[in-house]
Amino acid sequence: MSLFEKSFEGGARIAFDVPLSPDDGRVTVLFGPSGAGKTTILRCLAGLERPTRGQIRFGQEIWFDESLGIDVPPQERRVGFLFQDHALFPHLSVAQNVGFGIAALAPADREARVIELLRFVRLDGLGDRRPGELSGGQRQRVALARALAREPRLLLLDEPLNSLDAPTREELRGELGGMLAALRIPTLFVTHDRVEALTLADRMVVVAGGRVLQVGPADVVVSRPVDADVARIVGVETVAAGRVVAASEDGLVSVALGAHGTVVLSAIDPGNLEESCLVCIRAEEVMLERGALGQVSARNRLAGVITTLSAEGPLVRVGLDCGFPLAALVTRASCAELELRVGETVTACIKSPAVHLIPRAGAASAD
Amino acid sequence: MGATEPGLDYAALRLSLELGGLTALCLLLIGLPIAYWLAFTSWRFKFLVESVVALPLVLPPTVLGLYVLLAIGPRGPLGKAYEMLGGSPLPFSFAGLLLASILYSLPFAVQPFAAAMAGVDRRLIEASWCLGVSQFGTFRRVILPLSLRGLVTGVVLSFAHTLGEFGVVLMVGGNLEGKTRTASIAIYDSVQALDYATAFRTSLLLLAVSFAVLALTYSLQKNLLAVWPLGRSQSR
Repeated sequence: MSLFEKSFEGGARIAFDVPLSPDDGRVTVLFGPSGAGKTTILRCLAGLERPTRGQIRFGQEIWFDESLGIDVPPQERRVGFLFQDHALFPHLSVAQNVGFGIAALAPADREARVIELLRFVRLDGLGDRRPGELSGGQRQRVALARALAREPRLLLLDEPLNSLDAPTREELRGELGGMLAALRIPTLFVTHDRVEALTLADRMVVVAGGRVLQVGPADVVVSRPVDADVARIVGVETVAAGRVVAASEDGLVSVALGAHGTVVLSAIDPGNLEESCLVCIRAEEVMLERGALGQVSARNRLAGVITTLSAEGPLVRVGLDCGFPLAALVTRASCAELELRVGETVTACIKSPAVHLIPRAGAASAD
Repeated sequence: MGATEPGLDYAALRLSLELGGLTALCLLLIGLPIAYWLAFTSWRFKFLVESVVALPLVLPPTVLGLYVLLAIGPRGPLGKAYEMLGGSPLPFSFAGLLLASILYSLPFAVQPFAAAMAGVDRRLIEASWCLGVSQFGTFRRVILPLSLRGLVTGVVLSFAHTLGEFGVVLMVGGNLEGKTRTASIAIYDSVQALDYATAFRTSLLLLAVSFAVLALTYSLQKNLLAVWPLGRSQSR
């Protein structure tokens, strides 16, 4: 459990009250725009920054208590911290970096542990390299191995994929998801990247302006934001949990979604799908039609009942119930022409390429 | 040029080198903690300490020498304490000279040390803490090796600066042959005695030594990390 506040000169304030428990091996993603205070929250938890007031408790241990004057130094909290820019020691080899925090072990034990960790992050044989000789992705893996060496009780990852180029980032995102799931160490992962958040999160914490706005399972937070702020931050789009039911040879997959899995959408196979995935559809990619129409290229045609209509400047946001909640964005003119009204039935057309699937590696246990 | 072979004051030269070496060594030991504190403290009056450390840069050596002389004299606090501990009187002795030199060269060691330490990426230090390594361990294993260039610069500068000091030496050490007469004072003596040949030779030697030391240092600095396999011996 932790509940703390950090105030800054000039009035900025960050408050954090999210339960953290040592025996909860889930990945919690701290999601929010830059400047929201995410990094400060991590630094307070690591003991690198001192909260102004409140308490940080981890299991039975008190790490910080302003009223009791307790502030456990970072050395004794045994957390693994991954910095945005990796922060590898440039004067040490990869193996020495990984073994840095376990210098007290006997040399043979340390060496064995380093080898084991390098294998875990798939860097076998690179122990003698210098950080300067590694690619960004490799450096980040060294940083992870180094943080894991001391068997941390809590992993704190501060936008670890941010400094990587896009292809590496995508590759490492999937890998990291698998590793975190295998580790089962309680993890706090800071990101402002939606896909990253949805891929890795068992639980999502939306932070903005130094406040926690919503906590919950990732798909719930994204598809049912508690308020307009959260909606704006996560981007109001359709996000629904889906199940891959069939993959065809032409690169398309069929995904079942909705409460009873009765709605089936066709989408492009992103390649690394497991059974469970998140289905994301941007509202502007959803086309609405009424009555008979000619042939359309869109693979997905769903009947839906209009649940909400709200004007947004020149556009109207249409909420539909197609067996799952779906959002569409149409112009005012179309809205008038189609005579859209709440309660009426329309057909939503979505091209397969507009249905984005996000694999959820190791997230099967998410509540 | 004179046909007589002018005698070079080797004793004075050796004394200068000894004094420079010892001063640099002492400053390495004293300067590191001061520099560490200066580099990492967030005390708001830190600038006062910085100013005190930098004072010898602007103070006339005679002024510094006079105060040191007062402090280490038989009635001065340092002199009293030293003699109570069984030491011989400090003024006009090598020990007194060493003390004065340490003070006089303090900024030449502390400033490069502090600048180098402050230049070490803060995240590396924090990463070390998060890996369970104590503040001292972090100093030894991260900060020191990464500020090696600054350390070498500070040591060499304080050595070279001590070689060239004159006013402080004259005030505190006097001019006792073999005990406190350094090369720079020997040069002054030679000139006073109109023995220009010796003065020139000693000067040239001092110039050569100073240049060689500095040149060696700056050439090493370029690829110090490659030359110095610190990392490999580090965690053994």
